[in-house]
Amino acid sequence: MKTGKEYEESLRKLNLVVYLFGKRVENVVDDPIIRPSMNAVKLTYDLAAMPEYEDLLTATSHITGKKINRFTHIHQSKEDLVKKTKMERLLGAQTGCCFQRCVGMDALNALSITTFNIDKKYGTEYNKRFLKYLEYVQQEDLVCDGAMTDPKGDRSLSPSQQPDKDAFLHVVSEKEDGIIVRGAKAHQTGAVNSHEIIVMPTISMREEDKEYAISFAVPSDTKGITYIYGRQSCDTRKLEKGTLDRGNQYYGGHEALVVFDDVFVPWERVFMYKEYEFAGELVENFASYHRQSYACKVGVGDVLIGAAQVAAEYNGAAKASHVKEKIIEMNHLNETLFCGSLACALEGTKQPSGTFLVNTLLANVCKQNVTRFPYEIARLAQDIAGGLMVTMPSEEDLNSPEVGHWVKKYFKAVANVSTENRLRILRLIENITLGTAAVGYLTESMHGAGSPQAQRIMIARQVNMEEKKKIAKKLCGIEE
Amino acid sequence: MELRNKLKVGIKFCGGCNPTFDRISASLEIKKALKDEVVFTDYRESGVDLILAFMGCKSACADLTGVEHSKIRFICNKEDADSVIDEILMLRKN
Repeated sequence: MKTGKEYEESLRKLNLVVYLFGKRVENVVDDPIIRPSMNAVKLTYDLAAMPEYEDLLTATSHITGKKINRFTHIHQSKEDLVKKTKMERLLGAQTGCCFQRCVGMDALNALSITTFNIDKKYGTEYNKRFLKYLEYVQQEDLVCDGAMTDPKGDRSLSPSQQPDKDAFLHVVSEKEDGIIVRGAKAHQTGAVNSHEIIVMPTISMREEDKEYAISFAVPSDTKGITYIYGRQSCDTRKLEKGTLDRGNQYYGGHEALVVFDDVFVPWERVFMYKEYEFAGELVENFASYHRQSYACKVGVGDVLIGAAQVAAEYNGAAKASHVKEKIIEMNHLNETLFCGSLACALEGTKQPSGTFLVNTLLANVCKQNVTRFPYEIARLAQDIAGGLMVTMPSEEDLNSPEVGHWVKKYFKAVANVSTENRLRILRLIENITLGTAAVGYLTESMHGAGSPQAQRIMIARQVNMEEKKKIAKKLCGIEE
Repeated sequence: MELRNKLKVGIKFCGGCNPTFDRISASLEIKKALKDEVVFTDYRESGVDLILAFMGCKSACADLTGVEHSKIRFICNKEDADSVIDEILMLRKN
């Protein structure tokens, strides 16, 4: 396994084409806007090496028997799925943000199932290719970006009906040694901190869309790939002199638009090629794994609840009964989210490939709750924090020789807490609920791993309504 | 020579996803209290006399596959930690 330091050094060797604020980023690793997101991924390496955390952060490879980072592991049991949930909560709590590495793990696990199933039907060798690739990922301890979401163009049209063919990533041409692909993947979490990009189709496909039913993996600095970095609310605070106004001093997340401009993919890295009837399965399994992964928001919720309690104590309001009630409600909502992620893991099942898949109904229920509860937890945190969270002066004003003494005097609350510490905790709440980290904690909770309606469709499809009707009729004596 | 006379105790932690007990602080306190009696090591090392498994909560989910069960002492709260210290000190005294 790599150390955090080795991970950082490995990123420096990549030649990524990254654009931010209209300019090519020369040094991606040290760019002040990007750096906190790299720090968060780096922690997935550092914690794996620590006895205090290795029980969750590491696993044993089913291919080599070697100790590997759990983010590169294929789940071999329900216990593995449970440890995944717990690892995600832990990392959410340790970083207070999106740590970006779960999406690659979910892509690897979904592909381990679908490549096997395609081979079974067609006698292809996708699973063999995939396992060889997986061994490389595990051996090198790589970060993979699981790239599913196409820009999608006009939502009322299928991929092949789009006026711009590139609205969905597709095959442009076929060569003896591989394929050329074009298109883009949007909202790619952690893309510029990744060694590999694993592409999957974004929706179920029909025969007429088979040019779009492709899955493959390429090194992140492959010729033809360009990253356009996503803006976040308050992002330029990271360019300011002080650090207090950032809220989170160390970590952050990021997303990017990843453009594939005629990118070559060798055959040995192609895991699905026009087997359009398997696109839906891959999407659903990936989505279910990823919906389980939103246990990370429970960890961020831990941070936010802790911050709200500290803010209440610093304000002198912690003993008020309504504040206590609000903290209880926040915890209730947060632990309910944890229950959903744990439940879909504990009800997981072994697939023909040997991989354990979460219970897909419960994974969708889990994620549906995630589209709602973090918003309520954030609302309660803002309620407890008070309006100062969004009206307080900057760090530079706090330290100003002219006005700093007034900031300290008039924003002082309880006697034994400095004004600076009071402002620090409020900035953290601001960061998570409407600053850079709100991208991950709120809007990503809404739309990441599929928007709310996607889960409702899956829930409707997977519940057994006939059985529910049958037991209801039986209990009230209906005989038909 | 002195090392051979000391107990060899392996340390194992759960991952600490949602701790109700500060397992890391507890381990540090035990190490401090028993520093003259015990050599602390990784739980996977051969020849350990005892394994202290520090758990963040009572679900005690850390993977102890392959570990001899009779050697494990689970530490899930302060009482567990205090009693392990007493047990080892008593053992050393006798």
